[in-house]
Amino acid sequence: MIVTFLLFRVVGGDIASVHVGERATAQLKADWRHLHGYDLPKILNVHRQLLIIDHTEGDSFLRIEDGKDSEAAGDLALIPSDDDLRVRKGVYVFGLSEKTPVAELTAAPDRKKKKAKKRDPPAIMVLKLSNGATFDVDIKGAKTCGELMARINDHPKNSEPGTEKKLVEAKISEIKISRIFQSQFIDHLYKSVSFQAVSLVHKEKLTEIIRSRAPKSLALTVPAMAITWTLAMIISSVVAYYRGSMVDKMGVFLSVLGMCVPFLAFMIYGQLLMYAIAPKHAFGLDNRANIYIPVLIMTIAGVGGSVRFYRTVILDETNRDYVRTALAKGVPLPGVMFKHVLKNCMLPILTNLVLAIPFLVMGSLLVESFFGIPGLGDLLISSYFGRDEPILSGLVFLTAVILTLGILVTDLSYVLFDPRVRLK
Amino acid sequence: MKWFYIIAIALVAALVASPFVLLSGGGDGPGAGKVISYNIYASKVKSIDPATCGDTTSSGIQCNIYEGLYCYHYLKRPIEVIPQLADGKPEISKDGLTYTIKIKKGVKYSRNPCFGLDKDGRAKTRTVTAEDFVLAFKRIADFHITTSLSLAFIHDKIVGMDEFRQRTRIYHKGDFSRYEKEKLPGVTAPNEHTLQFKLKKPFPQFLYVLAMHVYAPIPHEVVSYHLAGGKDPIPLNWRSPEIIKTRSVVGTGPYLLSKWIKAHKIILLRNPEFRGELYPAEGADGDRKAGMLVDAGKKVPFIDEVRLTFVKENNTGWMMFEKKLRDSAGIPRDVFTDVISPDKELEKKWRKRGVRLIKDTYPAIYWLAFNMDDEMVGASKSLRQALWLSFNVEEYIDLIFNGRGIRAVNVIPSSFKGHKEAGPSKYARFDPKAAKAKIDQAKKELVAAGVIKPGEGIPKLTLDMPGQEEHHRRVGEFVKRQFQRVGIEVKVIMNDWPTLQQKVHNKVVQMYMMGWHADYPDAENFLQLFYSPNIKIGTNNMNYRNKQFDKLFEKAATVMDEKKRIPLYKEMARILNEDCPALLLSEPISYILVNEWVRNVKPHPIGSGFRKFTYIDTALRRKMGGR
Repeated sequence: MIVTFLLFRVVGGDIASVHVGERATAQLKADWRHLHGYDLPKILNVHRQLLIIDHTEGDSFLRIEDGKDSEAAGDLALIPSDDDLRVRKGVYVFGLSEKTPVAELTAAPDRKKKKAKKRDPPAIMVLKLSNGATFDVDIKGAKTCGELMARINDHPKNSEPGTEKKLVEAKISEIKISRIFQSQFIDHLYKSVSFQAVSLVHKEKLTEIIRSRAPKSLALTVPAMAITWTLAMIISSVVAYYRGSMVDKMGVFLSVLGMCVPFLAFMIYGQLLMYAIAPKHAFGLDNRANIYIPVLIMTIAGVGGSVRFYRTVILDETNRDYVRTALAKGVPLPGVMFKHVLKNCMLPILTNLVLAIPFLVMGSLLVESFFGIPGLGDLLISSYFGRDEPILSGLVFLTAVILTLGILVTDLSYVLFDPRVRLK
Repeated sequence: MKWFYIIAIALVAALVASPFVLLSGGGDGPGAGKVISYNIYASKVKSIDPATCGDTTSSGIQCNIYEGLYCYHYLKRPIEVIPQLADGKPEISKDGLTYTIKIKKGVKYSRNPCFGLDKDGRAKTRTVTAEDFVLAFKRIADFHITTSLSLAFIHDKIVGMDEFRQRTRIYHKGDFSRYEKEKLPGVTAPNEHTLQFKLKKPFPQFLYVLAMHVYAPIPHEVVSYHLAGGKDPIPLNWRSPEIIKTRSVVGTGPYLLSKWIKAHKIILLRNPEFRGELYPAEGADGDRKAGMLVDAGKKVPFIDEVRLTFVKENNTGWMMFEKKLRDSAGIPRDVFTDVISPDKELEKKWRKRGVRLIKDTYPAIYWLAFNMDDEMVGASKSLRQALWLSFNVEEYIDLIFNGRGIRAVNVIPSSFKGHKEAGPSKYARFDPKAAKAKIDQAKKELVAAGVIKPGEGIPKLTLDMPGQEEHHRRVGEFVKRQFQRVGIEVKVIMNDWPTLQQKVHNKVVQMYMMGWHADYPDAENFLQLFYSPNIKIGTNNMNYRNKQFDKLFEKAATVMDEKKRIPLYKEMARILNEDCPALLLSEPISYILVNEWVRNVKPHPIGSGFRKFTYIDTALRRKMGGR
């Protein structure tokens, strides 16, 4: 959770430019950030901000523009929130006071300070009030927030004619307890844990995405796993049964070969083969039976490793004393294998199997994109590249939850197969 | 134990058969008797709402469904704007600020439940009114909708756009009453079939802008019915002001969106309510000979159903074309030499198969941009000129793009007016000798600016790439080699897109690869990238400042007569030719392969939505072994 947060909110680059598009103006990007809460303080909202409040007609907005030849207000983004209007400079400032220095408000930030000095324009901020009045404030030379505020508050035009009432008031906000948790991190945490993540791209809920896409992933991975598991069990039993003979050597050789050939090669050649014999079934899900081609490929690619693992497990078991005893008592070999050995092998095999279950839902990235299956496989990677941050962190959290549950289920299932384990 | 094995076998069998349950409802139904076009799309569709449209893939889908006031003529070159939903050319007031546009009568939306149901339970439709356009512009200005492209063109042009946007901030995102309560003075509907725009200043390119489908009319029923949750209204918090569901897509175009499974497939069906549009009767020179006018005067669209599959892998997409499962295709890099002969024509094997090669230059320019605020490349004009002279652009196009491109010689694309007048830059040639001489000059300039000390060489420059893929690495290496020729070392930094954007925004780059695709056929679209007030707005990413250029730009921005603008464009392009704020590389040429059974394909440089003119001979396709 913290990792995804750091990845995206702290070092992730400009998310807004991905979603608003490269042609969008700086103002549009700032609007987007505000709309999606990317301009909130990062961890906790214990900041004081500079507020410029328009008192003319209640709570309406205040617009600030640059004066001629000035870029003073360019830096100050105007962000009205629920109950007040505030102007802030770039980032939130801890413990802002009247003495906090303000950045030079003459030009857009330059790489070289030297340059800013060369051009020496006045820094005029035009305040546009909601009653239609405007007035210019020269804020050049203001070195601290206090000076900046004084320039605005003490401006001769800044009072209603004849009265003392200020039209615009600049001040520093107070820390409010109620707003401490209005921060990016808390928001991020809450949305991930409550599965309320909504895609920044399609505005679709994470739960909806999973509901529509997970069945497709499962349709691919569940049969693949079932077939792989069954095949691996049968083959490894046979191989272990004929231990040391040609069958065993052949089996081990083939499974090692299967493990050595890269998965990608299986897919590419499998698909090429399909294009050669039945091009219509090589891609997509127009026909439900199409799914069995990638299933087959996944099985072939996966069965080798499993056979080797299961064989080791079974051989470990067959070397035990109880097997020798059973054989000595005259129990036929197949009986021993299926009745005793296999049952005792279940423990490591089951652990292996259950731990794989969470990954079933997540699908398989390569296979899915190769065979046009709209599953969850590419969701994780594409939401990373598309900077769809809510979906990504939601998914990471979901995987963590499923994995934890998977481990729990494995532990519980030991009760079935291992008489030494008891639920208390 | 016996039971265990029986259960296990049954369970495995059930799991193996599970796809039949999990994948229920996947098929598209039979296509017999219909003209169906098959193709693929390679990047995801991000939006089905015209207001939020920002990428080419989404736009390629949307332009079949939504239509704007104007559009481009399919065949004529140079390109020409013609009315689409508008009835004739706009009436422009003398000061160029008021546009009055009549809207065609009797144009109907596609049938949709938001208009209600008739007695037989069939969805109703209604005709387009001027108010629908007003709503469309209000949605574009809405603060709660992530608009990018559509607002960027007009926010400072139409009266009241920015103010409307400000006012919508205070509404809840699900509170759609803002569209009625708040007024947009720049876009009004004096009567049912008249639309009036008020501009802040003359905007000569306004008609081009209106030719984009992103300004398509949106019926208020879509907002009040679909966006509010359909039959059972949903709470404000859950509402999205954007059109995100297939069923809320209502347009006037030739097709309607029938199915959209994200990252999988899209099916477009012929819109039965589409007004009878005819295939154009006249075209550009050579169109008749090329067979583009065979169907002149016939009713469009010719294709009943468009089936698009999402295929990300280049390899797979190409296999589909090879097996005649697609009607047309681009050429992936890996197979380029198998398909195209060295003289840039189609190989014999493919010609025999009836495949046609269509080449098309489109108005875009790729460049290596300099950050003019940088102390090194910004300070020395000679350095930038030297770098340009040392860059072998011809080899670059050949090696990196398989020769699919031409050298860009000034900032105006070659098909635009003003390009010829401006002429090529003196530095748009490969001349290492001249480059070396310029480097010596650059050193003097840099010493004068106080950046380097006398006798020092030019320090290592940095180049930021906009991606991390193989292609970007190759380009980076290539650039390195070019600049080494004049003794300048380059450090190539690979960024992903958002990171580069942030770097450019913070002005911490020195050189970076970028480009620009034309939005409309006017040089202004390219020249605005160098106008200094646009630094703040965010489009002038090179931070180029030139008072003379700015003055010319401001002057040209309000000249309505195109002929009078051209000399100004010429001046501006010449200033840039000399100043070199960007090292111009190439204008791309795209190669498209089309099967014999497809007719009437002519790429358009700017416009989109021409799928309706494509004709597919299904009998021929079957005969030739396609679907």
